[in-house]
Amino acid sequence: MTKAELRADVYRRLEEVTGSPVYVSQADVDDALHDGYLEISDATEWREVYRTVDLCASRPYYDLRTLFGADLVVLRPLGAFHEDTNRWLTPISPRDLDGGYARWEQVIGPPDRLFTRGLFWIAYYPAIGSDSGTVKQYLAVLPDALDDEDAPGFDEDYHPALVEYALAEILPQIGEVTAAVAAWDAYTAYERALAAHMQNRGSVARQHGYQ
Amino acid sequence: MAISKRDLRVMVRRRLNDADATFWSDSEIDQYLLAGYRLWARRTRAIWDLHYAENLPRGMSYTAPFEADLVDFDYGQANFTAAFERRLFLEDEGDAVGPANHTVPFEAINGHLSDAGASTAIPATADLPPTVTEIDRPLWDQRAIPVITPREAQARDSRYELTEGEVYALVTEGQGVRTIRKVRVPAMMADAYTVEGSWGILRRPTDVTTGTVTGTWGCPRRLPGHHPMGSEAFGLPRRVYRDGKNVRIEHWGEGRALDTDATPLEVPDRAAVGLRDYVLSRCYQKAGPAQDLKLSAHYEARWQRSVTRWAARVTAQQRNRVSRMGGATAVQRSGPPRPQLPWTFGVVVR
Repeated sequence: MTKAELRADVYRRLEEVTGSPVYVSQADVDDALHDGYLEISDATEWREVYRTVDLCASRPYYDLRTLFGADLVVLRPLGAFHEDTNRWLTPISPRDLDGGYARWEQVIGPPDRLFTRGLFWIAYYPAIGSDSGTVKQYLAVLPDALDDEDAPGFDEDYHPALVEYALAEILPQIGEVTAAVAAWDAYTAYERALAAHMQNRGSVARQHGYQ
Repeated sequence: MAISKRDLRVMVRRRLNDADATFWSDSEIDQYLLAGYRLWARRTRAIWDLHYAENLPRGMSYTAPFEADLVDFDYGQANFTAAFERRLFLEDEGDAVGPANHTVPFEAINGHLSDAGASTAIPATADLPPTVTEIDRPLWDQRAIPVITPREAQARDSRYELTEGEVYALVTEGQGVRTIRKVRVPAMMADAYTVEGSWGILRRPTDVTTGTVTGTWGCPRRLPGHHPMGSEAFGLPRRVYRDGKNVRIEHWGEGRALDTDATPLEVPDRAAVGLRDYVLSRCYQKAGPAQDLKLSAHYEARWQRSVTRWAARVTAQQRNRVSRMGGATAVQRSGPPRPQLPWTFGVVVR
């Protein structure tokens, strides 16, 4: 379903006329659909991409907020592959590193470990000695905004989730609390189904219709 | 695009249908927002940062706490300059903060204090910034050190508040809310870079690094081996610390202070949507004509699932780690086991 079709569906459920709505503006519906698209993407992490990271000399941590440009909103880093040694970096924690060489932050060499500090900082350990080499970093990211003719990037079975989310956003503003909570419950059912599908792709069947 | 306090207030008002602030005032919404902002940081441990409890004689930038917001360079508070003044000039010894005898670090590092005959004693205690919520990993000379209790410190050395030497642990209990004590008292002043000029931005990276400088003009953007501290994701290096003979504290903290309406929140935009739900929950919970407990519970549930999701993201890499046997007990928290009698000693056996 395209965004225009999703919008029409929202108006149908609100018993409004799509072309000339009275109570709910098109901007409100579009905002709610966009918010729903981001929310289900945030919850299920369905969009996975990779980007190349240029390694910098002795750099302890890389900032996930700015490393890939403003257009790519990173939810969390996934696996990483060092392209010079052709090795996948193994996740580790600083506590584990403390158990080896105590001054591990001073170690220089090709990276073979990966860890994060807080939400925003990622480290490739050991740090490289010069500005050379690249890491192929896989990421869970948010999708781009939809235009009218665009359809959400995940399977069509889950597209009605956006309609339910939009209703859960709009209905409280016109006093329909019970209907809004019901729409929210319907949305979360779609969300759980998409999350299950994402986590076990290939063995979990896609959802067909409303559960 | 980062969401500011003003943006968030607009989002909340739109959902509350209260554009004219009939039921909820701006200050009330801001209060809920700030509470949620702090709660998010504490629950997720998302904001990770560094702080140096420098091994330098104590300096100061101001004498009264309210001045902290007025200074550009915060070197701490003190209200007397020599140890003997503690009980002389202040009515209550508890009001004494100090002593501190210089206002810029280079006065201590470059030997001006000793030239003037001033004390160069290094205090064992240091204050943490108010934004610190939890200590993650303290270090001495780039080695992780444990946080121990006063009882453990006493068991190791009853003179631990006096003995000078290398720092092997921190004590936080009994020192005050935001004060840490280094054990032992640092014996030597921290190393520091000698930088041309004493104020302003760093001009020449060659003062602090031997690495190749990329670019020929402008300000340094990154320095090999150094992590940018503070709440800004980018900007200019202001003060560069050296780790040798110094105490570094890696910690979790709150996001940047929301000084103005336009200040961006230091949270991802999607997490800001969770904050919006928190504020809506609190607004609808308030007793009054617009109270709606059903909606309040609805938004509370949405906030909870948002904050749980972000907290899980922060630890996702750590959960996937491959551990070595014994790797998790790297930092010794106490001394070796106490000697014990054989287990059968004194027990009647047949």
